[in-house]
Amino acid sequence: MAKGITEKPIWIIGLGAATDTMTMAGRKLLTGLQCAQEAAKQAYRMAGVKPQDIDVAEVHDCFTVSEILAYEDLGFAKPGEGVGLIEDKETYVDGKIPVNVDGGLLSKGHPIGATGGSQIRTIVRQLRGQATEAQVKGAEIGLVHNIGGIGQYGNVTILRR
Amino acid sequence: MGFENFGTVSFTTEAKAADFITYLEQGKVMATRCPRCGVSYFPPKADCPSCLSGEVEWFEVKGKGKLATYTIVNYGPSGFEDDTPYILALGEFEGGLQIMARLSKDIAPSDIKTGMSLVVVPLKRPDGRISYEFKKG
Repeated sequence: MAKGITEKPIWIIGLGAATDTMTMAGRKLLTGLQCAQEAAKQAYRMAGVKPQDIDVAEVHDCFTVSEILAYEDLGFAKPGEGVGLIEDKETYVDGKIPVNVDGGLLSKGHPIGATGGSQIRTIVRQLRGQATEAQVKGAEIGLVHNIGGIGQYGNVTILRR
Repeated sequence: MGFENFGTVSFTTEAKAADFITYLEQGKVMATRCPRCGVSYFPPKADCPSCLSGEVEWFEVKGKGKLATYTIVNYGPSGFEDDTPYILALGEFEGGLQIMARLSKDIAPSDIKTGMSLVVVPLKRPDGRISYEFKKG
């Protein structure tokens, strides 16, 4: 049916959603968001892909550190090594795992609710080869990571062309 | 008596765990523990999110904890502007209980080190409001 609507359908191949406690002080992990880790695990399992299979990703960088934690929560980097991905420019357009090539929340803005839609749009344009100067060459599989509250909700969506 | 006189800004008046305030006025900082699954909570909870039991028991947070991490708040949220700068800290207490509270203003910023010993004590503010804070342990 999708092919009747568009010539370039993008398929949702993995979904994950998880929640965590309201109280941050009681969380078991202070250096990541367990709701994001759990959502990622579910989405990878449903999609049948691994972190290293992702060609381009949009993550919820509501603050600078949030993006680095997201690398680790999504398995792009080992715990504590997320910052190395940026230092090595691996998250740039021509890096190993391009992340937030549209500038992310801190650059484009974060209208709560619309942010997730914007992230999906960015990845759909990437997978269709319509991302102009931000295009990641040959992107086939994309990932969207979105967070609600202060890590109470985590959602991960994996898309494929 | 509920939470109307608690903290810089009170976000709730009614709460199932309102006994916390009564204890605080008696000079005790209390947490709750679920007798069924053994998980402890601070801030106290009247129901256990881990096993859904409604039979939690109160206990006083005694002894010394360790400073796990902290941040200096220079830009406070709405209603907290007059309190800045203040230091928000996370302390680890016996049994893995984690408590978030401000560090007392009588601790000099140059003396703050992660791992330092802390106690949590009730705080009666000059404006009559009640709260709790960390002091050097």
